Amino acid sequence: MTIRRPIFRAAPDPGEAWARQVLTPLRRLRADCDVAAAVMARIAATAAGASEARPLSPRQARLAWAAGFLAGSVALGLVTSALRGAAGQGQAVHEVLGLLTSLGRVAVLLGRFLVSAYGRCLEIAAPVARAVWALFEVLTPILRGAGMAASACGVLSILISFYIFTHARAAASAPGGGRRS
Amino acid sequence: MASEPTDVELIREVLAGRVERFEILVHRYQRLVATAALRMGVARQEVEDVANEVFFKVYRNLGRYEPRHALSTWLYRITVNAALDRRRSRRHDERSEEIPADLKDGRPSPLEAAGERQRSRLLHEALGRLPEHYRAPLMLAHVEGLPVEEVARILDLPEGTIKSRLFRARALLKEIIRRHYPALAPTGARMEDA
Repeated sequence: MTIRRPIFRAAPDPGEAWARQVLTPLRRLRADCDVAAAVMARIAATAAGASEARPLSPRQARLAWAAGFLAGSVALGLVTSALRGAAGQGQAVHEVLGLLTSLGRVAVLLGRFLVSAYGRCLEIAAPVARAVWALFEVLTPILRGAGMAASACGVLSILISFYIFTHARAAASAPGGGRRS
Repeated sequence: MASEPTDVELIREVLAGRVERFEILVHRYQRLVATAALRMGVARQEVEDVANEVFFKVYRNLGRYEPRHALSTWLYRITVNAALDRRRSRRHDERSEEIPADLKDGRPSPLEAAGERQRSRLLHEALGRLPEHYRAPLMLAHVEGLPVEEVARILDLPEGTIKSRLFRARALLKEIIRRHYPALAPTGARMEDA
């Protein structure tokens, strides 16, 4: 509970009787509701491991939005790197990179805003994001090599299949259909 | 006829796995929680949500309950916090609260009811001008009618602090009413001020 300075200067205490008299309308307020069924249903849902279907508060919604945006940016970065690895430095990739650079600038601006609002949250998230990015940079050449190896294996597989098929066909076209002794 | 189980007995049963016994506690205290929330300034249409939240929170933290204090003390504490949170989040569109038709001290005429509604709305406005750390003890002591030691337990503060806050809260409320809501002043006091 934050302590704020009183708005007015000190005044004499008017006493309990005065307060009781002034607050009489509030004392007359009565509320009656039956939440037992709703509470028990909620408890049962929690016990069953069901997710709570309660609306998010504005703060939670903002946090969820920021987290979603970060996750989206990371996913976009992954796809871009994959494109770079697969297609080299072509014109299309340059355009995509240009677009991503613009998006990145927007992301930086938003990031600054988020840092001011949720500085502590980002202090935890930023090193993780950097670590993920560094890991991805390390993995990119490995993935590229693995891709090339997979392609070579594919080509080799096709050549072997072609060889086997050709030999089988030659054998099948011989008179009698089988080997001649 | 078997006697009603006490709160502590019911809590022990719930903690032992008989979750359905929690429903008895909800039935027992739902009116107290709803009324306290309403008096703390929660809009009537939101009272049920707040009561639901309060009981769910109680269930989740039932293991932390200390039997040396009454369950109502704990419920008041959670309700006060929930009501303050709700008021903070709804500060921009605070709504006036209605006086129900079935007042305990007799059914009022439509004119009286309208007057009470207006007074209630103005009172919530006036109380909204009080800092939270003054408002909560004032409401618990003079609206809920709880003794100072109970208020101290609910707010987890020393009794001396509660007493001084009550003193300051009453003085501030009087000043707020004198400056901004003269219609709320008791009749005698209005004449004195004049």
